[in-house]
Amino acid sequence: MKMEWIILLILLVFAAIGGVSILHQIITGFRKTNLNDHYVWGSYIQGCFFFSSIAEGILIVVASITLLNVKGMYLIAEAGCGIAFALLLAAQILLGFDLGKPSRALLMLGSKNFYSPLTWDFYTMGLTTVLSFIYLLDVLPSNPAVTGIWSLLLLVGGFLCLAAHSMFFLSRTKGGYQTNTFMGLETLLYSLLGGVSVLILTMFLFGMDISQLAGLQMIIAILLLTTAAAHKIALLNQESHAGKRLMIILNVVIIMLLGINLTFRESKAAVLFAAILSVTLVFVDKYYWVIDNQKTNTIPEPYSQFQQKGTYRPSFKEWNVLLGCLAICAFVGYSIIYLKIIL
Amino acid sequence: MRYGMLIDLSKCVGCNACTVACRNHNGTPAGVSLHKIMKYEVGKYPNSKMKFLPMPCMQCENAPCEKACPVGATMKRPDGIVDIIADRCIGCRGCVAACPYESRQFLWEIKNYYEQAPATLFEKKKHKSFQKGTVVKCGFCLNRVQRGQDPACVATCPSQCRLFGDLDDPNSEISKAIAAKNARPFREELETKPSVYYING
Repeated sequence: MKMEWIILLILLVFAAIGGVSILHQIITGFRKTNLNDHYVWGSYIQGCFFFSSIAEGILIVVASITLLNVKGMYLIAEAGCGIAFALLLAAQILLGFDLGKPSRALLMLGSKNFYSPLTWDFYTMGLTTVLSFIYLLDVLPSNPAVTGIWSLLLLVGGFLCLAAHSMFFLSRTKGGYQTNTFMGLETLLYSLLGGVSVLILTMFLFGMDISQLAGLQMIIAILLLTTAAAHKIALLNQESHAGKRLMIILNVVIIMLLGINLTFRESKAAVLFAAILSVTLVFVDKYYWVIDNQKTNTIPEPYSQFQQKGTYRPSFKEWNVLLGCLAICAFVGYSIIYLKIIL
Repeated sequence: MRYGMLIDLSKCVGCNACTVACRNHNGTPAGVSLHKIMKYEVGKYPNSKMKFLPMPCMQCENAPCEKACPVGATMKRPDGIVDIIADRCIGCRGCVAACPYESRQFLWEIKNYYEQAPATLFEKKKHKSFQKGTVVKCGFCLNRVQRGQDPACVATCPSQCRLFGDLDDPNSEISKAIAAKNARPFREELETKPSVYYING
């Protein structure tokens, strides 16, 4: 049996186990999670933002490639749409099953409250999922005007989704508003870095050329280090942000690895290791904004002096569901790329 | 018409009778309270004091929770009360995250007071109005207000530190008291325009 089919089978088994975890989540509700009144959002939302952030980063790159009609990048566009579709599927599963009443999720369809970031998230994630699926079906006519409209819609959808993610992180502290000069730009850059890195890893896995993306990865990492450092400087006089320090360190390591690649030219290992670290960086970033941000009490001192601070660590069930969605994403993504590109 | 509340902090003794009355009237499940009192210490020993800040839902005019709700389950009534349509709530907790007063609570479970025992008759009746997986909050005891009564917390307070009435009526007792004593809402810098005012705090 071919290696690819064995890998598909293994991924299918893991995806099936993941599916069972997700079904169990529907039945048991939040009883088996460690979510509480202090931490109302946890690993499911972190996972949703992680998957969708990377997906939108990939789709922004894909949309730019097709809009500008960059020659020789057809494979990147095809692989990108496949992976992004799988990631968005996983993100929407996590988002859907984090709802208290998932069966009512479609009520958002008629929503006119565009003040709510969740409304934007719903529509833009839905739009980009459909657009990436359309590309995979090969039904787009090779008419430049149609391709142009498709690319523009994808680009706008991707940017709006990331903007919603920036708005979404309404902190419960400091009055329900978290003003941060760099949040929007950082969210975009993390998304692009994660997206390009996942593309590099995917293309390497399938034996495709990664050199075109390595340079892009370097540029995004440098921009990200600049904004992350600026954000850290802005927070110097405020409470400590250990998470931010970690992210700056990770970012510096990534740039060093990419620098090695530029110097030695042939060091694929450096690029790949940088890609893995980048994806880790995005995951840590989402942890910082979704979970770490809820650590502080919403009501300021001294009024919350005796208020119990909750703690949160994902439960075994939460890890199951998160890894289950990852397995489903891997299975769907691998299947699409194998069937569409390799075969 | 805009219903509002005025709380005199110099009279609040932190007895929590208001919290108990709220739970009794609404029949909230175990672990759920639509009203809370924040207690805190001011000054330094040996001159320190305990102080209390009763916090119902602020029923903000510029409610962040209403803006955050993607399905319109949270809406502001014409009488100023911010209401939740339980049948529309999808349980996303966006409103819980958006509220700067921690006035909203998500129903993770509908628990009985005595966990090992079956629901009492009171719990069986009252818990019917709660849906697991949705968000709840103080609604100024709307059913009492519609009957011309004060909310349970106002009626119960032994030190009578609360006033309830129409903020849009300049001749109402509450409006006169707010004007005379320069009452201010909590965290007014957030510009949520709460309908709950405080004095002597």
